[in-house]
Amino acid sequence: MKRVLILSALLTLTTARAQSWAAIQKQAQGQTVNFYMWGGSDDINRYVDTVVAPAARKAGVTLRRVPVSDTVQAVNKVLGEKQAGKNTNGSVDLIWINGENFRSAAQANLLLTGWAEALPNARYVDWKSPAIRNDFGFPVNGAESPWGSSQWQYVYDSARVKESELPRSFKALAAWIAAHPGRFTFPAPPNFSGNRFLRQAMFELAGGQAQFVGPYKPQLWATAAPKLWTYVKTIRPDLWRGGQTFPADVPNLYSLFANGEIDFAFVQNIAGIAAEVKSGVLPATARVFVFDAGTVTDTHYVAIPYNSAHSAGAKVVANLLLTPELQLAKLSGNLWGDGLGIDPARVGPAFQKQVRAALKVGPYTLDPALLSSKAFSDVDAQYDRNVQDGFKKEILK
Amino acid sequence: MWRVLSFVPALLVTGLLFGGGLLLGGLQSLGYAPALGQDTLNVDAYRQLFADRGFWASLGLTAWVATASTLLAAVFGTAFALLLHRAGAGGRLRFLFGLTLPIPHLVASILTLLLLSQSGLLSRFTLAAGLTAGPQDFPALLYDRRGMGIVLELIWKETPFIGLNVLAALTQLDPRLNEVARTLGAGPWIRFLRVTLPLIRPALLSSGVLVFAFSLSSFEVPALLGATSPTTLPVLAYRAFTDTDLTARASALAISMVVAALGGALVWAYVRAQGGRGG
Repeated sequence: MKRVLILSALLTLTTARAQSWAAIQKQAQGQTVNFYMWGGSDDINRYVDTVVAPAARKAGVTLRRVPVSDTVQAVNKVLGEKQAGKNTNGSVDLIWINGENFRSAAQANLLLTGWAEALPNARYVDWKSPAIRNDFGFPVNGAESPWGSSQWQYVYDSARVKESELPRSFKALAAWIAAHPGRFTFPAPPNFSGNRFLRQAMFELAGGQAQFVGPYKPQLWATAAPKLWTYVKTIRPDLWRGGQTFPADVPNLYSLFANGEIDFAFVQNIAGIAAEVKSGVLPATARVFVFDAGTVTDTHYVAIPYNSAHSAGAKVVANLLLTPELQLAKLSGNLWGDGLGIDPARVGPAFQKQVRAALKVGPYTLDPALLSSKAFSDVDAQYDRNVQDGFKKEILK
Repeated sequence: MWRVLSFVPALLVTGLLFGGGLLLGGLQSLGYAPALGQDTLNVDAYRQLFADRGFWASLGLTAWVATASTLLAAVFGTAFALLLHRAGAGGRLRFLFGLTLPIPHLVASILTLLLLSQSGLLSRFTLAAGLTAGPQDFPALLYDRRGMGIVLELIWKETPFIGLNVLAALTQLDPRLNEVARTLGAGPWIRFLRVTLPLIRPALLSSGVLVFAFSLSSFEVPALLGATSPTTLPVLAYRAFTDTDLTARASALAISMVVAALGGALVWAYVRAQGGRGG
């Protein structure tokens, strides 16, 4: 019996390589896809439950959203299964992933590779763009299919801070913090947003992001790191609660902001905070802005574990996520406000018009032209790792 | 013989599941990770752990949180039990007293957060009453380095647990003992120390040991109410376990083993102390 099972598993493995899309669709019928994703945003969860799941049901796939507080938990689950020798029938089918988690999962060979560019809707994706081909400087290699894009923005409350007083650089921010003790904080790394905030501080303090592009440079880190930690140690006493403790995640940051304990927060949606204000997470007086030197923009993806029990269903869902209608619904500030994972020009002029209409620039959404003029890519995942370790060693010791 | 045999099924399940988990955890703490191509055992994780100042700070905080919450819950629990017993409390009062028992610690921690945070419900009352001018004026009870918020939540949850155990012992107490002590001229304080306390001691000790072991290994309470650093050992273990660097897992399991050893040593000492008294 066992031998038969292993043989049939091997057979499906070998045939999976040479499968046509029609065969994948057929295989996906009736499958339940376990989609592991960060569950810290009600808006995003609502988009998946009310837009993606019904579309998947039409395609014959049941989508089960499994919320995690950090993507690393999904990666760990797959790793645990690999350790236990469970190389087929794994419990994770699809992961919302990027950056450091992708790199560590790829390095431990936990992901299916070479499938993403074969999806029918991959024709809408600009696979030539380095912002898509590489994830935090690590080659995607067909193991990730793009889902959307984001850009870092700062949130402030216009009822408490005047627009003319906004700090528009890390230097100005340090001065603002010193003048307003206890009114600023950030989530502690390894949290994704907290780490990204500190990496952007590192770019400015070291003289710009451009020099960090490309493979990891140890010498550059050696000169940049002391500047970063000196900066953090300087602002720390004037942070919320004297820098003795930090919020765990963005939802905690938002509740501190909404409760008036702090004056700034972060958001990464292209449509800014339209969705968060609409759902009442942030007050109606909240506004967004970016620093003069620009902020990080990047792509986020979905990946399929190597041992997924329903990889056909997962591919169908990954393909669905790239359909123009679903991408448009995701862009709208009514639901989520996440940036596109596809290139509108590849879909057609009618779609381009819809995209422009969907991004209503207003108090909660910055002009896309302004955003793209003030954007730079994220850098090699090793810097992420170093910031995380350094924060533990230098700040939390 | 039959008495022992009847325990076998339960022992097998516990032994296999619990012992198996402990064994696998122990192996992983020794660096056994075949998926990462490591199948030799070493004590590197423990060596690094014991050389890390953060670990000792965390161990200190964990011990302090468990000790403080157990002692205070025991004091309050005993006091409430005596009051309820004195008042001849019926089922309704007892029910009210035990009302917090079924509430999970996760929910209780969120309640604590909503109630006691600097922008929580109490802070809003003091603001409305003009006692504070904003969140920053309200005392910072949560996320502090001494784990005040954690201790408060644990006391709130565990006081009724100890109290009901002590109350059960009190109801079985022969009231004539206290009468005799009174006629012999013992004051209320002496009567409590010499008569009541020795009789409720077993209940107090057994529930206290349970509360201490629980507080030692509680994860959700310090994760929600504790400071970023220092944090308690279970949170430290969780962080290491969910590190993107997969080699940190050995350290996560090593911390868990330390917690298990502490809890185990405590229970062992308790059982030994009980063994001398046949109960």
